[in-house]
Amino acid sequence: MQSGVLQLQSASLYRDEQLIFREISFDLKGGDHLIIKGNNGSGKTSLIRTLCGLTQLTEGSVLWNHSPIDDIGSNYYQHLAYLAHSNSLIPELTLLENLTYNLHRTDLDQDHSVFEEFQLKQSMNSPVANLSNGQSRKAALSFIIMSGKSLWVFDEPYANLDSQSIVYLNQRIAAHLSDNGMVITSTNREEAVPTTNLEITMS
Amino acid sequence: MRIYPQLFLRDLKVSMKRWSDFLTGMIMFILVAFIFPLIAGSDQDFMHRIIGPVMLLSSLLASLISMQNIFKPDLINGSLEQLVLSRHSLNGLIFIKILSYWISSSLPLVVVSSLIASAYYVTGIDIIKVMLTVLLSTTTLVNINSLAAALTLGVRYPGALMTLILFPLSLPILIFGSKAIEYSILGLDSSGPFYFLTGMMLLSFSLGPIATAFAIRISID
Repeated sequence: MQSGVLQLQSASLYRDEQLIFREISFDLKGGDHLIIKGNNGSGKTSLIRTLCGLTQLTEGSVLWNHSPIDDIGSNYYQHLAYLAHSNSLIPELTLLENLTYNLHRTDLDQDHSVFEEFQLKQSMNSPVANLSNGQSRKAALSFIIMSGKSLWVFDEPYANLDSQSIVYLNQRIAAHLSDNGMVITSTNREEAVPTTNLEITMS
Repeated sequence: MRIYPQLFLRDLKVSMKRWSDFLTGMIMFILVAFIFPLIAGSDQDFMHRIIGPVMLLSSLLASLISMQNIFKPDLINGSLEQLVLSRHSLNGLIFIKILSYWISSSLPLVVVSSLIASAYYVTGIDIIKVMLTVLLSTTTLVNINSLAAALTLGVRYPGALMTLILFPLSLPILIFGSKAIEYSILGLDSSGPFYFLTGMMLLSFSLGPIATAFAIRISID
């Protein structure tokens, strides 16, 4: 998989004069997995949103292949798959329709084995509003796994997941990393995440 | 390029599932527009004089009551964020969203306006001109509405603020739209107002999505 370098350089974020985080830096290359740890309200989501360009940093910069992401826009976004707190599924549509109209899908003939592994096959034709929290989470995760993008950004991926799905998700992450992909995960459930070389603890 | 028809179909499908939201606007339109013939029905000249303002006013009220539905549900379920993170131009995606929103919220009004016009003793070719006016003014209004809705996305109770943004922007449409209908029915040359409305429609569809996309980026921060 073709990959790039994501760099965060001495990033600080203030909201209404209040400090969210300051002076965070890292380099992320192909095969790297960055874990962002921290308690509730420690700024994990804010950090992740700045990495996606949804929130502007007060100081510092986010670089993709040494260019600021605000300047290169779609050149960055074509590599980025982001799982937010909300699952970004449309509750009125069925899971299959959500998949069909998913804006980030690049390949029409993807294998649907992810849905089987997540035990979602029998729920494909029910509206997302009728799925349980865990099922919607797994559906949103499958979209990221199937997206074919190189940088996966997960905000609390293990929330609401059963242990079997956690194991499968970690397998897919490991496979993605060995395929030269990049993963960023934020979590407050340290027991679920695999050990990695890159780690940020927010406080 | 497949993404544009895809988003268009998705939005139409979703609005069909949320039919009650979109029916609210249409019911508002019919209620306001039908009240006048019911109350002051028999005076034909009077009806001819008020149909212009009434049509435009009911379109405005109909769009006001449903305008929150264009971006708010997508903001809540998180799909608006994914739109911003798409590798495609946000301006284009927003254009498609506005277009499909217009089809589900305002196209029914254009159809219904022909029936309402006959309640105002409007006949023949003038009915077509009433429909054309509603078509041209709702396309402009939907762009103004989406800008106001995008600007106030981050506000919890945006009602008053949104109306303040809307009022000055939509006033020209109301004035020229009423004149277009009035001149057509009186048999005067109505091309002036129609040119203005068409110009405004083209202008709003070319600048509206860009301004709205920009406002969404700010609101989502």
